[in-house]
Amino acid sequence: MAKDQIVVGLEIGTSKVAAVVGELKSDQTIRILGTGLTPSRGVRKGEIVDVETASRCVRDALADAESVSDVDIRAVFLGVSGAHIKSCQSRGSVLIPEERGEVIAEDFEQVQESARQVALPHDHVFLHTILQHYYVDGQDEVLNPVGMLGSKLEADFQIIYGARTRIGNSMRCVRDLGVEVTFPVFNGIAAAQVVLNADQKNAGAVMIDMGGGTTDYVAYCNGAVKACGSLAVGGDHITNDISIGVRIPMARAEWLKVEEGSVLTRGEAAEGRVVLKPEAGFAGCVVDRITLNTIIACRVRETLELVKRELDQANLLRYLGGGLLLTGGCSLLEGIDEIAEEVFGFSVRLTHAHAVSGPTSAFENPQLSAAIGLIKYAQAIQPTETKRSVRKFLNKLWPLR
Amino acid sequence: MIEMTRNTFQDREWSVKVVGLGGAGTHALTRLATDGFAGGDLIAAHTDSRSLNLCPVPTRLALGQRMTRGLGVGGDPDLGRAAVEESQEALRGHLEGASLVLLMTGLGGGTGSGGAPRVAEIAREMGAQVVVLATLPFSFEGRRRAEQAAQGLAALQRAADLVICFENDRMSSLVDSSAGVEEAFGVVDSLLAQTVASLVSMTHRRSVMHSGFDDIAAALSAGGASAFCGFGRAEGENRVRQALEAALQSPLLGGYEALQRVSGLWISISGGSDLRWSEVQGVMEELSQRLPASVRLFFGAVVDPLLVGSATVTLLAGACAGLPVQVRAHAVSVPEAPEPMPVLPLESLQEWKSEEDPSAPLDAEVNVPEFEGAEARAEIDSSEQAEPVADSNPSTPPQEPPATPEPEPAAPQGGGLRPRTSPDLRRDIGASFLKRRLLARNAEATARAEEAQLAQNPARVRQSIQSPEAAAPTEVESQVAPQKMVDAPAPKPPQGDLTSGLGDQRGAGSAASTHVAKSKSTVQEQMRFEPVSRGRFEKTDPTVVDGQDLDVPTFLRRRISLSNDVSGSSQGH
Repeated sequence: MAKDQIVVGLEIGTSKVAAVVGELKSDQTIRILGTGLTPSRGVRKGEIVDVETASRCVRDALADAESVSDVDIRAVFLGVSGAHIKSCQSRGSVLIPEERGEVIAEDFEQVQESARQVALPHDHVFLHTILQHYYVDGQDEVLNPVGMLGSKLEADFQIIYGARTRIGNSMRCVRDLGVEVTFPVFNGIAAAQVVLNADQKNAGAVMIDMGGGTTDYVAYCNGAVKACGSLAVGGDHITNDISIGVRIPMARAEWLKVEEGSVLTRGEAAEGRVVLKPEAGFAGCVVDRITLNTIIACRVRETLELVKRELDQANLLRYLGGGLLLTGGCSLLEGIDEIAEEVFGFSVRLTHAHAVSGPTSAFENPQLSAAIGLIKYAQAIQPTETKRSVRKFLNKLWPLR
Repeated sequence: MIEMTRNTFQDREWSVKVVGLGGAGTHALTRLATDGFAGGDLIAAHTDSRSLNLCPVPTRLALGQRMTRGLGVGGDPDLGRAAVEESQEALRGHLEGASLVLLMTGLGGGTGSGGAPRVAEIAREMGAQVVVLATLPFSFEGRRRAEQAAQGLAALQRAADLVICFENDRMSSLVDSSAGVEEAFGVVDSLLAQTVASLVSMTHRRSVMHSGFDDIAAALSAGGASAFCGFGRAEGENRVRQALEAALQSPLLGGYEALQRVSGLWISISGGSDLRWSEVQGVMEELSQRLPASVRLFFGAVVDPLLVGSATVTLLAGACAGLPVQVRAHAVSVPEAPEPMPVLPLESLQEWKSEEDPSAPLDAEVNVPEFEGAEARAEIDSSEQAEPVADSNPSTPPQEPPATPEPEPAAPQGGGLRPRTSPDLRRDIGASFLKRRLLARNAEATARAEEAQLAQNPARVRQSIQSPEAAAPTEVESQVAPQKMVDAPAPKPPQGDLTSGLGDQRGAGSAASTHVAKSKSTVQEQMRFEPVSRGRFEKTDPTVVDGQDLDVPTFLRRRISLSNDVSGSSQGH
């Protein structure tokens, strides 16, 4: 990866499998070389329910991406999602030896290790341990404590964890194809990398990625991740609601949602009817727009309310000056920003991946936010990787240093 | 609420006496004894000395020997009480020094309904805490036994510190349809025995997180006398979770759906010394996430050296007051009103009455043959419990037959208990006894004023049969008593909506839904969407937040009516 600077992000979503090949440039920008997109099967609510079928979809998507970008894909950053992914707050601390009296880089690893001493539920594994702030001898919010004098280093971390088996299933889908998984990454964290810019992260902002099977959210405050999670409700639920409410097959309901769906229950958008033409095996149907929109609006509103409640419980709602950024397939629904504004009471923007270059169609598609985010994530963790390996190398040379 | 105790000397002062009173009580006691219960002294007490002698516990007390000559009290509660009075001194001798008296009894007969309150009074006078585990009679046992049980229960509530009720009707779903009568009652007895054992171990053993009867009482307080109970045991890697699942699967409790409607929940987790904190924590977190925020949770953990490698979970849940609950066909008269009564919407009462109304021609036609079967089964039950038979049916007015039969004609394959399907039992979950009484009484009062309208009800019933969804060519019985929803506090959805919901259920085509319709009852409306509406998510883990299944469309859960009749337009096209 470090050699050719090409990274592949793979998201096995509920509605589609997206593979994005990106090039990490030395000036910290990203160029998209190609994307592979196939409809997904064998995935429900962000989790693999049929490994074989899902694996076939992954193969198709990777093959597409390979042929478009002319890159041989060996390893991917894999996006994972699902309701099993949870987060918690943890503080680690480490005592600095008196004779040294100064914080050095090695202490960071120890403090992280100590923060990870939390009791995870049975059969759960760590996905991310994200640093929020350092404290040296209780002094608040130190950004870079290296070289500071002190006797105790503490740090707050946001710990994201998930069920071992479910993450394992996703990884198996990829490994079965002979492709390595560099890291599994929570989709929400990935998407936030490209959806939120540094200003928004500092001012406090929340990103909601309403995808097919899950709604992932990540809230930043003072530049650090303060809350995140995944709700197993997404566009699939909207389709299912329409299918039940209007009594049409899922495929028609999906079409209706994508082509005619709106969350506006007042005004022009809610007037008139949609005609579904009769076809073989389907008698045809006329649906009032108001009915359709009501079904969608109920679901969207409820989902956003649930996210809002989570943020409220984390006491974050007052600190989100950067507002709400909506992405994911569901953000394409007409009027969703209005309903989100009603629910949250602050500014809402529909958005997609930023700070990347390449084919516009790729990064302007909110459905690809998470997959592109995986590449950004790879870029974000890369320097530390390099540093660490350099350090290891130096340690080998001068082991007594 | 939760205190850490390290008092291992507690046992010296803590003495538990388990009393099995009457036929059902001694049977459960027999089971407890054969299970090797060692948590306290077992005392069997019965007026019928013949069946008392079959109980293998060392301490047996024949009640009212002079008065009944050991032949039982013939189902007369007054005699039952008098028998206890007569043998009071002997009883006091046996209960001497008890700190906790667990009284197991079956209500409905003479010894249990009449004697149990007196026994509880005596035990309490002697300074013991009294917890009563009472079974309520099967509905097919007839109206008189149900009335006696209700009176006995009311008296017990006054006399005891805590009454935990088990409805035999729900217990029957524990039993496989092919099971023999003996086996069936064995299951019921063993459930009572398990509950006693875990209650005692919770308060008796060295517990990591102590939870006592004060907690149980608090958890169950809002539910009046009624409690749902679940018990599960599992071994292996994921034992606590599996045990919890098993406890939740217990038909008496009915899974997470049922937990939405409880007001308090008492959970006891026991395991061997290898019980891990993370196991307990994980399960408790999951459970509390799936429960509505309003539920009061009481939790205790016990380490039992005998349980190494396995874990048990015991749940006791108190039903929420003011909830819409099922109304059984038999009405039970109440001696006094313990709580202000909820007022039902008029319409729902009419429907309720229409189901019960014996004069409805359709009902009568279908149910008369059923009743004969029921009578036969009532006899089986009575002889099994070694209590006189003749009390129940003669007292039932002859025009009442449709009021009692719960069992359906297809059932009697040797087993005295009818098989139940899962939708059936889910529907039963909400049936807390107390509220049933209130509703029944409420309904009776209103019904008198509504007689004129009642006459038209059969026609209404037929109307709903003719709705397109219900027109599937199933047996007549299944359509006679279509599911009716009663929702006391919330407004009722429009009729059209209702039938379409039903139609969806039938559309699923399961034999179970026909079963549901067969029994005569009024059902909570939340449940009607359950069998089908998860649609695409049928085989995934349900997404439950605050006890709500998010896979069910929001507009259905929030009862938002869609403005146009979509089905009409799709058909018209």
